[in-house]
Amino acid sequence: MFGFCEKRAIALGAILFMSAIGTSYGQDVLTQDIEAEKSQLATHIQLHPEDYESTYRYVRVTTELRDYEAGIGALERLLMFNPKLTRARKELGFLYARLGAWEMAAQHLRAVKAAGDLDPVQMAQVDAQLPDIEKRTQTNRLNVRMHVGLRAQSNANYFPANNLFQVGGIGLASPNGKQGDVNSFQLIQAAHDYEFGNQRGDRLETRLTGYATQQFNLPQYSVALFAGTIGPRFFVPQTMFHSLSVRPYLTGAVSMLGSNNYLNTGGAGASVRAEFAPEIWLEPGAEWRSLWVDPGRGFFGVSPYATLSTLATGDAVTGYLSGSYRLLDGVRLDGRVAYSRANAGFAAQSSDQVDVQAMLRLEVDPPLPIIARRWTIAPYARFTNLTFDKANPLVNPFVARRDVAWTYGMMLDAPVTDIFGFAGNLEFARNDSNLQNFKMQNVSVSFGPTAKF
Amino acid sequence: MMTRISALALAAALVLSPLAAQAEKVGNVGAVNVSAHGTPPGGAKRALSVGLGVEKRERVETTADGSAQIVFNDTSTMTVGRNSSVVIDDFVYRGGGGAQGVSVAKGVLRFVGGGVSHSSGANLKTPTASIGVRGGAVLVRVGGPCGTLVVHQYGVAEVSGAGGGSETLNRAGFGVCVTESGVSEPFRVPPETIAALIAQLESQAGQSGGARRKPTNQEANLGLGNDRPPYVDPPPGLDALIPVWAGNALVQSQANSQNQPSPPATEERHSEHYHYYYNGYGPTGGYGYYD
Repeated sequence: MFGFCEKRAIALGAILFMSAIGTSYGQDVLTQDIEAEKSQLATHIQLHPEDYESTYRYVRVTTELRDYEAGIGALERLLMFNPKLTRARKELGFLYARLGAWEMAAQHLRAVKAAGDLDPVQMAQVDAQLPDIEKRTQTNRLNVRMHVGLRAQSNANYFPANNLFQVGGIGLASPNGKQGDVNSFQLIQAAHDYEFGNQRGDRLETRLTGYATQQFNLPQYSVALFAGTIGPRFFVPQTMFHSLSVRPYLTGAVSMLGSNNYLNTGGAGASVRAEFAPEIWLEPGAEWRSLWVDPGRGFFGVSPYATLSTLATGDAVTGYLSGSYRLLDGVRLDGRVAYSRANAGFAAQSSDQVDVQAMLRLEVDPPLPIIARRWTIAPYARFTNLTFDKANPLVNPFVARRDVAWTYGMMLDAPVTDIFGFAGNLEFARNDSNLQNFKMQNVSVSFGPTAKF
Repeated sequence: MMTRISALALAAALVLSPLAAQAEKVGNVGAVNVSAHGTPPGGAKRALSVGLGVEKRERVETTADGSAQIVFNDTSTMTVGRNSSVVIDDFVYRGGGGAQGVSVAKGVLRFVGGGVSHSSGANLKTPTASIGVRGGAVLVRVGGPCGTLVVHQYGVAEVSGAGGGSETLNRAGFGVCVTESGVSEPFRVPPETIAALIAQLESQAGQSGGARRKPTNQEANLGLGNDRPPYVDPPPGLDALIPVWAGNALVQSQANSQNQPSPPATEERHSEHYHYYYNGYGPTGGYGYYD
């Protein structure tokens, strides 16, 4: 009934689902114990407000239970006892930040910086987060993340496994083979929000991405990609969700491959984002794009082999569902499911694609206390099923291409200061196509410094 | 003799029981700076002190130097700032819900919700406004040209004017003014106004909130641990991989066509450049390699 790949997809889904259920069940049991402790502590410190040890414990327990208001009340009491209790004020500022009360958070954390009597470890935590908190109080804010480094690939030319091809339905083995290569890369992602000033928080969101690689041995596969979206986000007044917003947007991209313009896209889309709680949100959406592939080559006549490329001039419609769920304080599950229909001029390049992505982000303590931000280790997986409408006679006139691709990886984000850090990635990709020409495997490793501001 | 004493005790208990029922403790004083007083219903004005029980319908008043924090039985807290006067109108907490009402005649108040506000909601009243707080926290100032200033901190605050009109606040840092003529449009409250409100609620230099011994930073460091706060802006996730995957897709798309060998002429089939094999799909059929 199901093929091997479908079974693996189901198995992956089952593993993610069971791990979420298992984590949730374990958390429920733990939560019951902590709830009981919280209740006991609440009663005790209400009668004995000067039992500071119990009050601190209460703050930690309520924070763990995400009952931030209870912790705020306790910390404000401590500050009435001692307005110079800077450590309590720091915690208070971060609790307000967890609630999204950015101005209150910023005021308390600025007071902490002004007091200047915290130890370097605690002060580094304030220095690392205060700029981000202050940005949230502004109506015009820009966040930029940069990542540069080196990336090594075992199969940079995406050559078929075993060097096997079909040509017009006849099999042959090429004397060429896969080529490993190293590239230097630069990634920059910028997010700009301009708020319209109303209480709903309506804003104009602009997202820009630039990505470039310089291959050391295969310069024809060096990439330059610039993509962006722009559109307003309107929040819908309602009581069913924690937050509900709609975002129509325009999207576009320009890319270079080697020294040639390769793919240009332009289109529009719309999405609806529903936050059921601060811990969980879903965003379904739909998007239409027009694609122009390899437009410069048209002047010199398109090579017939261009019809073998996965991407083709035409248009694509995508429906998607993105989501994120914070299972625990430092554990978040992100996912995206998308279906795309691409219509090309040549039917053998028209396709249907299902794309499933999942990532588990685990925030861990870095090795040194002075490093203020948590590190993130994120295992991830991606599954795509790409089915073309018709067979391409250049490969096999009787078999339409069908790719089932798997990608597994592990991403590391290791901030060191409030601005600089390191990031790395280890990834294995495998395409199990039904045509030998497109079966391939590739292992890639990347590492390099990051900066955010 | 013993029987007569028991009867008197019983009679006294019966007479006093309504008073006992009236003295319904709804919380305790968490912190207090002199001078702050409480006036229980039917009772005399008394100085508030740390840990003292607070009753339903008790009036809490502070002077120019006074402030107090009341901790309710549902863990909600109410901090009464300087020169303020509030009355605890109602408080019932049954674990899963209840009722909570506070009237503010003048001054500044910070309400941070607990069990009641998270279930059935708490209600704050001022001379010009009624504020329903659902699972949240608000700052309230009564007096001045703004009438009643309500600053939202968290959750939802439904503000109704005594003179008509209503607004729902659901974004931190936004607030409304409520005068006799109605409720203003929500606006972003200037940071300096928020700072001034906080200053009205905090202890001044030399004050200790009634604590016999002040808490210290050293104790706080030990008690609060070294857990790092979570990210304000989330760390990179799938969004950081998408450009890399897009770049891969471009290369793979081009490589698919560039890797494809040209169809060799028939006489070259046995050349040393390519090795042919039968396949399961093509017209040659079969399966297996041959040179």
